[in-house]
Amino acid sequence: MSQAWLRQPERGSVGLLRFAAWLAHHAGRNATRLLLYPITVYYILTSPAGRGASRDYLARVLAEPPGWRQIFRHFFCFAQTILDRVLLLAGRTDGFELAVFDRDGLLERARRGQGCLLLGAHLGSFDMLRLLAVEQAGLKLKILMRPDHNQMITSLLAALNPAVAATLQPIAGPADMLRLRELLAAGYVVGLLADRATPEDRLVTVDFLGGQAALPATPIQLASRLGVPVFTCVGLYLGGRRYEAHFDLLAEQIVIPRSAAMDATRLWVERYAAQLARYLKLAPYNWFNFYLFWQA
Amino acid sequence: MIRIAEGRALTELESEVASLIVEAVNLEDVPADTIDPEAPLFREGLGLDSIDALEIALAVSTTYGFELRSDDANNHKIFASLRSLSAHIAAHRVK
Repeated sequence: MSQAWLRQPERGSVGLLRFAAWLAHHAGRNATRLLLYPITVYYILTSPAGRGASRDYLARVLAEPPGWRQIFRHFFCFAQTILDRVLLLAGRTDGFELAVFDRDGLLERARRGQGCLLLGAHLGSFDMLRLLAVEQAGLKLKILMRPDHNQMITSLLAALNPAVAATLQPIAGPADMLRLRELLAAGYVVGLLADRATPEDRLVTVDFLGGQAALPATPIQLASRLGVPVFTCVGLYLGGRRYEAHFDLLAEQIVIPRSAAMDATRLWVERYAAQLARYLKLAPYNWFNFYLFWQA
Repeated sequence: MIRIAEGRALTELESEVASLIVEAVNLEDVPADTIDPEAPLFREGLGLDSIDALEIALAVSTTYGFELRSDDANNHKIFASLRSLSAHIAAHRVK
């Protein structure tokens, strides 16, 4: 089911994002937040697959079996981060509290002109990382994205914040890989979300939160070919207006020997997944893959 | 016996580049001389992916002494087929 998200319409994020943008602009965060309650209920009721995925995930991370209350909280957390994303992109950053952890290693390498890869996930708020933790530090940043699936989000993003939209680097064909290599050589920090597989990705099945999940091997294999330092990063939403950004060095250089390529790849993907698991235990409602992620 | 050149026949450089690709992306089960020079290298053709693109770029740079660049006006054609990649190499190689 690792590619199940591709079959789901973008409805969840785009519809909500567009509505939240309009509303936040006219009514502000507090009023909009009230509306997130009925919106969340609507999405839970009309998305049995998302509900099932939420329950499956929560059962892995919470101490108690999840009920409606936990599922609501999970969806609400997602809706809240989307609303905040819109506010951030519109430049309305006042009132947000962001605690940044372990960013120095990344900043130091970037200031030396060393290109780095940032592996994120659909976990918490990547925009919070992008806007506050990274851009405020003046890093040269590009975010890789697959344009085909994200076109609507991209156009909305461009309308809200052209500067942020300009950091997006579409990845569609083999020639874009050359561009990626050039960006890293020019000292860019390049981020990508490494938890969802597309049909073109190589997959590897790893232990993750007590189960088995198929994750894309491509990001790790790219990192090994590119030979740059690799960081994992998450922007956790902690309630209210509080966020936490964490950066962890995964490897100075990922080396995958040809003789044991799959084993070495699996090991690194598992380390990436272990980092995600670590943060999901701290902030369990931050997992935003609402499709069946684990193998039965 | 008269040797009849088929449309599929590889030039000397194409054979060399085919071997380089097979070696770079570890295509153990594909003999270099069976690669159709006109077929797409990626996806539906030879089935290479983005990681392979990087491997090939690295191998080309080591072997022929120049970089495949993303801002090359013809870059979508570079990777189109063995033939187009070879033509690009022939035009830009420095060793």
